[in-house]
Formats: sequence, structure tokens, C-alpha cells
Amino acid sequence: MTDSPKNYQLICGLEVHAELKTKSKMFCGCKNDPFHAPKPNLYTCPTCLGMPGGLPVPNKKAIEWTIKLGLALNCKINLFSKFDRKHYFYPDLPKGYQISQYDIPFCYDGYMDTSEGRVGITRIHLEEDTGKLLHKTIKNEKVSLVDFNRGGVPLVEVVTEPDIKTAAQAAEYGRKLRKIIRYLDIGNCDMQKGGMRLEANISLNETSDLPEYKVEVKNINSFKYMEQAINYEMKRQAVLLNDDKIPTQETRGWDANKQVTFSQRTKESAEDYRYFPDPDIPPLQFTKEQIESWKKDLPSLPEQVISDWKEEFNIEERYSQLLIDNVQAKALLGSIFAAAQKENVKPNDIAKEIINKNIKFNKDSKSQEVIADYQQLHQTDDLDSSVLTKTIGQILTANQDAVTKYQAGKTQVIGFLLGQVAQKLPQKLDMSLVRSELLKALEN
Amino acid sequence: MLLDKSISQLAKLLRSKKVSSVDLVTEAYDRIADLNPQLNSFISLRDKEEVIKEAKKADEGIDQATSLLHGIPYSLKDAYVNKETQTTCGSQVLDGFNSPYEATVQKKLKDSGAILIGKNNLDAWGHGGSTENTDYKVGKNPWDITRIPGGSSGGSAAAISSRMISFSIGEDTGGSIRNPSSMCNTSGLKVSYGRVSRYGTISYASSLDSVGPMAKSVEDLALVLKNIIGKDKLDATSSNNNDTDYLTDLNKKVSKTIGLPKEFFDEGLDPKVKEIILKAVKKYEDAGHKVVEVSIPLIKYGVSIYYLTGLSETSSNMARYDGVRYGHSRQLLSDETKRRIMLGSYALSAGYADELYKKAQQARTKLIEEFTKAFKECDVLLAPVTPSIPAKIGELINDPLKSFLEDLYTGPINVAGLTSLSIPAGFTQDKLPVGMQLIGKRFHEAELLQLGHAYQQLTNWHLEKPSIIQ
Amino acid sequence: MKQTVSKQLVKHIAQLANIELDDNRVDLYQSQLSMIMDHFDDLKSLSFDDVPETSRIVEEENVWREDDVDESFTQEEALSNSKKTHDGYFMVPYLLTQKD
Repeated sequence: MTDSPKNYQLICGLEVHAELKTKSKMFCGCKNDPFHAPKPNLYTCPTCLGMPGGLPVPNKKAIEWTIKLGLALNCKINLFSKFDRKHYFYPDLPKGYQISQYDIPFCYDGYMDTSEGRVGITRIHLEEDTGKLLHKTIKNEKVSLVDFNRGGVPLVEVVTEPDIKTAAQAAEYGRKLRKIIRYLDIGNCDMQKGGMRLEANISLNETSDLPEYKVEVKNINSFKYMEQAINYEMKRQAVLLNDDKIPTQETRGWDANKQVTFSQRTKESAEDYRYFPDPDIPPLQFTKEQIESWKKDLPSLPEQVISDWKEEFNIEERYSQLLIDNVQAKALLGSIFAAAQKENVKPNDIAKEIINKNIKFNKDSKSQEVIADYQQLHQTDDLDSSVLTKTIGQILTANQDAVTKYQAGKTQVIGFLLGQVAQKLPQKLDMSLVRSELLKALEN
Repeated sequence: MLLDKSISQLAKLLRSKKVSSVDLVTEAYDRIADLNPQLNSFISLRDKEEVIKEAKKADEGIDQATSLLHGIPYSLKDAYVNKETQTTCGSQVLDGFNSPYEATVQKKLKDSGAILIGKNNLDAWGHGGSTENTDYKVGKNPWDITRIPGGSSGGSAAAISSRMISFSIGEDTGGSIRNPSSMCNTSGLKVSYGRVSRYGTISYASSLDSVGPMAKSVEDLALVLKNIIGKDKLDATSSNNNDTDYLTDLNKKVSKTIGLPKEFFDEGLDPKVKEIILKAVKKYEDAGHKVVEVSIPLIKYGVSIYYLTGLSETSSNMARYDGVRYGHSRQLLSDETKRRIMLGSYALSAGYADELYKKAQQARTKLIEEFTKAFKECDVLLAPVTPSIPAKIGELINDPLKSFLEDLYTGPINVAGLTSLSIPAGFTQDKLPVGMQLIGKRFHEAELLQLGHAYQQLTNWHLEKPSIIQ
Repeated sequence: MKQTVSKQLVKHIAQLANIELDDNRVDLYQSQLSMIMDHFDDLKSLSFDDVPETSRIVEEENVWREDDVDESFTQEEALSNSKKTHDGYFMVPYLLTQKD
């Protein structure tokens, strides 16, 4: 190697799959609850099991949610759309094809802003999830087991442009996307269980142009791993490029234990999925009015809420970030903050106490109750001044040496005396009042 | 011979208690026992005792019966799933498959009180027009057992023709109801795409498949159709189009303009067939209908358009047969089916899809336009069903292209989603049946049934029975 | 006779379709597929430019279902036709590679 190492730029795009939390599956009425099913192959029917004669009928809610996600990510919406069949053989794919969307996804051409710049969203489409495979050894024979409880669960795929420039930006994008999906209340995005799955297309170049190869790292189940995998790939590919070798176009996996990516499959020939429009499902035609009304339904997104709360209620961003979980919580908190303001309680203080769990808060909380809880936490009982004077007198009598010390200039005994007074009185005290009364008594 | 009577005659006899459902069912089993070994019309039969019990129940409930199908024995092409028997679709890949659910059409027939006897032979997966491409015994034509019964619903047509059964449910993707109806001297209706739910129908080609009745007469077809139509929430392609009562207007005197699409009478047509069809045209003319010539130029490409569409879809629909969740290895599929899957995979594959699959779908758009234009000049089209008379067994199976070309007059009708009625039109000198088809606009089944019924009032072709049962 | 479809293509398509072919079958299918494809070639003489594709004959659009849960098979029904099952799962030979 004669040349000195060159500077390479990361060129990275992400493909994120997320399951939608509809009640029923994408194309049949089977229950969509694969993670809590008591037994395997319990939520299946002719359609999602690919039985002879089974037919798909799309779930309206899943379509609506996909379009709402697209609107939240600033996408354009295809008024005309359709479902297509994508063919490949694998035992977890019961029909030998996956119903997906090929050339006309519901959403396209959107973006998400990150702290390191804008990431373009190429497309968002809706498809069905596959069954789940388990690998086991039974009677000394290695086998794979298939459970179709997950087969046919609605799955959105969000594909970005190759705009991502650092591993940290990839992770930030992923976290934000998860937050938005949760916030819209359309998916749980449980990454450990596979409710959200990440794929990164990674390549390096000396310029920001797309190079002639790309490496896909698939099946990453945490943002941290994704960041690590991208960083690892950057190093691995740079070594190859410095050696004048072009990294092989392939699919790799991430080994979290060894902290390396490993080759899974070389793409010798491009996949031939033989897409064509699914004849079983009539096309979809939306009107502009329909899209507009869904747009109106759309809650303002976390970033918007954070800035709104800052402006309206003076809530610190660090608190807002922690409080915004989903739409329901947002609406409830908004009404609590407004009510608090009316009662001259600082909304930011309430936010703080909710986060510190000093005030009970859940989706069923009533705003008046929350404010009452806060007030109770900070309330000072009206103190009968004669009782206070009497108590102070008793304490001073019982602690003459402390009084002597005070008179000798050791004013720090005040703290001790205050504590003694507070212990005697059962109520919540306005300590500044106690302090001034105590000082008065000592001066006399 | 009770099963020679029409469904409405039988319904009357059942209601007057002169005949029982048990009588009908017993006769069906007797004739099947007698003739099926020669004709191979059935793949599976239900247990006779169980069916007799069901018939007894039907007899007990006859006074409360609302459907004329109550107590009438019928069969299903073995392309529908049901719970009473195995479902094979004519392929060893599904041999022994016991469906845990049933097709909508089967459910509707059961609800009407009709009694399922068994499942009929077919070209496996509907792949063929001769009932030779079955993994069970080769189907035979009751009119000449050295010849094919047509297909793929050949077992159903042979069973009706030989009076083993009162009616049957066929499935038509590119002629599979009409072709065997023509070859076995029975009546069959290919409904408009979407008219009858496909739920539980083993898909050949999803955008072409249609579920329809097969019977001895148009009147019987109308009666069965009435019981099986309708929107099904389990089939997104089933139509909302509201249906008329096909029986009420069946006898209505009508005067129609009948179009003869000239491309259907070109040199490919056997002159023996042509002569018979033209005589039928004359009959309509004499009865006061107007006959005009129309043109559908793209019919010349009809076989390519139909097969590129159908085989692409079948390559996809057949992908589920992997032997994991049910059935046996896909390597056991027949040569005919493997060939069709490969042709379809080819037509959809990268580098070829534009010139094959997509081009066929564009041609489909144009073909539909041509039909629409033709229907501006006439109410219905009249045409032959197949270019030739029933082939000798073995003739087509070794010539896949020739077998494809047999679908020239039927496949394009499915491509356009139209309805078409196949009815007996006469016989060759060798006493081989020849049928004709009346082709109607989408959802104009009632119009076809009227015209077909009118023809059957003027002729007796449909009443003729093969010598095998006489 | 010239064969429109090469042996290599026959093998490639068989692989796509998950169909195993021995050499005899490759030869047979090559000639049969070539003959049929030659016939389908008649479409090449047609030019459609911007004619839209018709991939299904359905007048209705937006045929969808509400998000309601319907009855499913029992586990027993789901597995009843499978030759190999284990503990409520379908069982297949060990899959070496993970797919996408």
C-alpha cells in the first residue's frame, strides 16, 4: 500500500420495518397479538396460513395509519395505490409470496430533520409480516419450527434516501422514528421482540456520490447495535478501499457478542421477486379531501408539542422530552397545564413532579386531581400564630444552651432550633414564617 | 330415471312426497357405482349411509323448505374446499387434504338444503381442457369413452351428462365450464368475474377464475345460480352488483340483436362445428332475433393474452404448495402444471415481464375496449365454444401448444371478465355433441339465460342422453 | 430447430419456481417452452405505448375490512394437515441461512 489512507464519507440509508398494533391482521380477521399468544399457530385462518382457497381483504385501519405516518413524516401521498405480490420461497412465507407494495407505495418523498441535517424519506409502504422461525435440535436432529401467529401482521416499511452521514445520525433517526410511531399510537416498536427491525445500507466514497457497491446489514435489533455496526462497517470498508478493493455487494449480519458484522449472503444475481399487482385485492383510490381529513386528525408531533409547551406553558424541553409518549398523554398533559396556569400553579413545576413521580399520573388521570395532588405536596397549613409563639417559647426554654450559643454569635444553631419546632408541629409549615418568628423570639 | 328430470320438476315431486330425497340420492349412488368405473367422473364420494341420513332429514324438512334445491343431490368440482371429503384439485400434491374450512359456494348450497354427493375429476389445478391431466384416473366422455370429456371441469360435465347427479359446480378460468359442457352435451354458465364468491376456490388464475353452475338445462342453471350469487366479505373481488331473480324473467319473450364475431369463425374452426353453430344462428333468426356481424380483431392474439395472464398468475398461486402446512412435495406436481408454472415465472421474471406479462395486460385493456365496442352493435355475442370436436384421449396431452389453442374462443372471455353460457347446439354425424356459447356484457347473466332458455324451448339437443345410460 | 429458450434459462426459471429438473426434463421443457414462447411472440408485433394495464376486472375500489377480530382456526385445525409438527409448531428441515 503506497497511498496514504484516504478520507471516506459514509453514505447510508435505512430501511425500518415496524409492526402496526391493529386489533386484527393485515388481510384477515385473525388476532394481531403475536407476542402474547399463549400457544403457537393459534391466530391463523385459511388466509394467513396460505390454505388453498384463502383470500385477502385489506385492513382499513392499517392503511389509514400508514398514510398518517407518511403525513407525519412530511410525505406525499399517492391517491391511487395498490398491493402487489412479491415472490420468494421460504417456510415462514406461507403463500410463497408476500403481499406488499411495489411501484406505488402509499407514501413517498418525505423527510425527517435530525441534529445532523435532513434525512429524505424515499417511501413508506404497507405489507404483511412473515411467520416466526425457531431453530432447535429435536432427537439429535436439527430442525426449524414455524409459528404463524405473526404471519400476516401489518408491517410498514420506511425507506430513507442515502442521506445519513454518521452512525450517530442513523441512531438519532431511528429513535425519532420510533418516537413518532409510538406517539401516533400505531405501533409498539418493541425492538427486542422484533416489533421494529432495522436494516442499514452502508457504503463509503470519497465524495458524497453513491458508489457502485452497497453492503446491507440486516436484522439489527437495537439503535446501539446499529450505530456499532455502521462504525464497524466504515472501518472494514475503508481498509478494503485503501487496498483498492471494492467491498463485495452483500448482506451482512451484526454479531453483538463479537462486535463484528459477518457475511450472510452474497448477491451474485439480483433477487427476482417477480412483482405483479395482486389480483385478489381491488386497487385503492383516495380523494384529496380524505387525505386532508386524516391530516387534520393528525396530532402535532413531539417536536411541535415541545415547542408549543415551551411557548404556552414555559415547560423546559428536558421535561417535555420525557413526558411525550403518545397522543393520549399529550392531550391530557395539555389540559392539566392549562388548568394549572388558571390556578396560578406553574405548569413546569407540575411537569417536574410528574417526572419525579411525586404526583400520580396515568392515562386516566383527571387534571383537577393532578393539580390538587400538586397543591397538597406543596401546601402550607395556616398556622395559628399563638400556637407557633407558644411552641417556640417551649423549645427555647428546653434548649437554653442553644440560645446561649446563638447569643454568643453562633447563628448556625438556627437550623437545629427550626428542626425542633417543626417536629413539634404536625402541620406542613411555611418555614420562612417559622424562621422569622423564631428570630423575633431570640432577639427579644 | 329421476335424475333426468329438471330441478323444478324434482322439487315439485319432493314437495308432493311422490319422490323422496332418499330416492334421488340412492339413484345417484347407484348410477355412480354403475358408470363411474368407466367414466372416472368422481375422485371422492361421501359415505353413502351418511348421505342417506342427510337425505332423510331433508325429506322431513321438505314442508319448510324455502329453496327449490332442497333435497337435490349435487357434486362439486374438486377445486372447492369442503369439510365432507378430501379436496385434491386432481393433484397427488393435495391427496388426503381435509380442509378445516369450506368454500362460500359450498356453504350456500348446504344452506339451501341441497345434498353433496362427491367431488368431480378435473385436470389438476384446472390446468388443461381434457381431464387427462389428472393424477387420478383419466376422465372419459360418456358419448364416446375413447374421447375426452373436455375440461378442466370434465368430471362434472360427464356426471351430469350421464345423469349421475342433478347439477354440479364447475370452475371456469379460460373455458373450464364451457368446454366440457359443449363436449358432453350439458349446459354451463361462466358467470361474470365477481358474480359468485371465489372464497374457498382453489385458485388457478385469480383475475380470471369464476365459479359457476353446470346442469342439464338453462332453467336448472338459473335456479342454481340464484342460490350461489352475492357479495362475500371474504372475497374482495366479489361484486356488490345487485342481482335479479333469474327465474322470474326466464320465460319472458325477448327480441335481441345477436352479434357474430367474425374472428370466431375463421379458418381455425372445424367445418363440422361451424355448420352446427350456423344452424343454431338460423334458429335464432327464425325466432325473430336480429343477427349482425361484428369484429374483435385482437381475438387473433387471444390465446397469448389469456395464457400470459393466466400462467403468470398460476405461477404465483401455486407457490403456496410447499408441503409444509399441508399436502405433499411440490416436486410431485405433474409435467403440465410444472410447465405452466415455469411459463408464468418466465413471463413475470426480470427482463421478460415488460414484453410478456405487462404487454398482455395492456392488450387486455384493448381487448376489453373491443368487446365494449362490439356490444354497442349487439346485445349478445354468439360463437363456438371450441374449434374442434372432442379429441381422442392422448391426442392433446402430448401437444401442449395444441391444447392451449383449444381455448381460443373461451379464454378471451375470462380476460374481459364477461359472462358466457354454453349450451348444446347439435351433434356431428358420429353423434358427438357440439355446443355454442352466448357471450354477454358484465353482469348480464339474466339476458343470456333468457336467450339460452328460449333456444332450449325450440330445440331438444339438451335432452339427448348418451347411449351409455340407455 | 432453433430454441428460443436456452437450457440455462430453463434452469434459472426452474430455480425461481422451486422446481427440480433432471437433465431429461430440462431438454423436454426447453423444447416445449420454446415452442409456446414462439407462439406468445405474436404479441411483440403489437405496440401499445401508453395503454394502461388491466390486471383485474373489478369495478369497485377501496374494498377493505374494518379492524375487527374474527374467529381463527384452533391450533389443532391449523396443524391438522401437516405431516411434520412439534409442540404446536410446523416443523421443517433446519434452515442454515437466515433470509431477509
